[in-house]
Amino acid sequence: MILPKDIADDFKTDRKDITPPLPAILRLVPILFYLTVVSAMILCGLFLYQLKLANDNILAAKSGLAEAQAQVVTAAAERKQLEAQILRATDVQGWVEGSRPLQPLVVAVARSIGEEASLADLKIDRDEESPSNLNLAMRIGTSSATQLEETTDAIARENFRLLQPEQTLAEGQINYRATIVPLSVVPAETATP
Amino acid sequence: MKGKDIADVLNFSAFRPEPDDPTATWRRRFPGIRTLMFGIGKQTLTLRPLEKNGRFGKTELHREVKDFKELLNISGAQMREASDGGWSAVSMHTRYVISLETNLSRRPGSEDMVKTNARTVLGGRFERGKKYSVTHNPETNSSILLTCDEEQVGRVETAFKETGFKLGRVCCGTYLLLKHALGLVNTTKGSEKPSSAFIIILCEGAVCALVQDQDKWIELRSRTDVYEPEDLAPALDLVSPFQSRIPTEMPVLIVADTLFPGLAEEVGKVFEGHTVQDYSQPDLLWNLILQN
Repeated sequence: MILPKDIADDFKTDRKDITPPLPAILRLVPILFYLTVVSAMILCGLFLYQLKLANDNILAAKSGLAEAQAQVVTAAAERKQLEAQILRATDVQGWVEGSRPLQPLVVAVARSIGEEASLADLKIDRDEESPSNLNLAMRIGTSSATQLEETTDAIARENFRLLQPEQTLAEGQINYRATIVPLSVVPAETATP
Repeated sequence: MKGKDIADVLNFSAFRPEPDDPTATWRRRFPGIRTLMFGIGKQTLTLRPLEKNGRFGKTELHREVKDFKELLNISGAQMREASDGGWSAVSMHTRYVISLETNLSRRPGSEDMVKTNARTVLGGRFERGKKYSVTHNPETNSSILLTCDEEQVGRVETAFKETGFKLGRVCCGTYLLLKHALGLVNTTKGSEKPSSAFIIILCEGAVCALVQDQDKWIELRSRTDVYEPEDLAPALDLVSPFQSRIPTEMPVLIVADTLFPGLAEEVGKVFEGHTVQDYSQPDLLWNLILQN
């Protein structure tokens, strides 16, 4: 014979509200719960990592934008400077170009000064109302009228006509003013020999 | 549903039996938890702590204990430190009777019903103030009946509760060892190969002897507080009268709560000509409480 195998006898007073254990299959519930928690933590970690990467990219982009803006400002300043230089260069070029027809005149005036005289001051301005006319002002350190005559002759040899000449003599210096007109623009009847 | 229920599901304790669920084994109820095993005799109290790893700690044997309640009041707190939450199993070795009965009710579930409604199973043998447990012989009309004083159980429960212990099981060690021995003897299904044996149970001073002849339980004798571990002679004196009553070819089977060196030889001298088999093991009683 075989006696039925049972649980050991128990004489203690039984509790009435003892509940049986839950079926083993329901262990899946806490297991799934813990898996969900772990998955959520992993996903949170991934999201935080991606967020950090995105923030870093935004910061890098902002930094690049600021750098580009600074480069634009620098380039604009350099361009402005270049434009100013170009303007000045253009002015210089204009002056050079504008003064080129006068260079033979100035050389002629300078060479006309003799050994006993000196050219203290020479000023040639274009007339604002008539740019083809030149206002000549010069101060020659001599009291000889011959020197002034040689100088005006030299100007005439350079195909300029002297109009409205004014001269004063004081303290051994001759102050001479006149309007110089190139012969190419002087009417025939107003030209003086 | 309360928060504790959710917590129990999440920490998997809801899938284990409750600690004081007597229908579950001790191992299933207390996995990885330190518990205490108490043996209560007439004047002795044995304490065997069970560690987390399932091994037993050092045995404490208290002798000359007039009242175990006083001892628990004095040393209970110190004893409780060896457990997690004070969960304990108590094996009673005094104030019980194991008897052989016949013609008890064999209705389905009667072995469970004897604990809740003993009168319907025991009929005229029922006594008020007693608790019962029964094991039926499936081949005959005889049954082994364990009778225990309800007052003694109540005293044990009250004393342990008042000193902060929690009782997971209150059982009778001798009865548990007897059922274990019957399981060792009766291993063949059906009645074609009937078994015979003279079973001697020794459990912390208590002795129980059962004669099984051709699957029939012939005679049972049970006494408590018979012997001391150092002197087994009174136990042998108690069983020696069976020598003249049992057939010579009937084997003698010894099951003791622990290992007694030389016991088989001593019994062999008393039961000369019989085959003596000693199935005792160290901590057998406590291991049976764990497994059942």
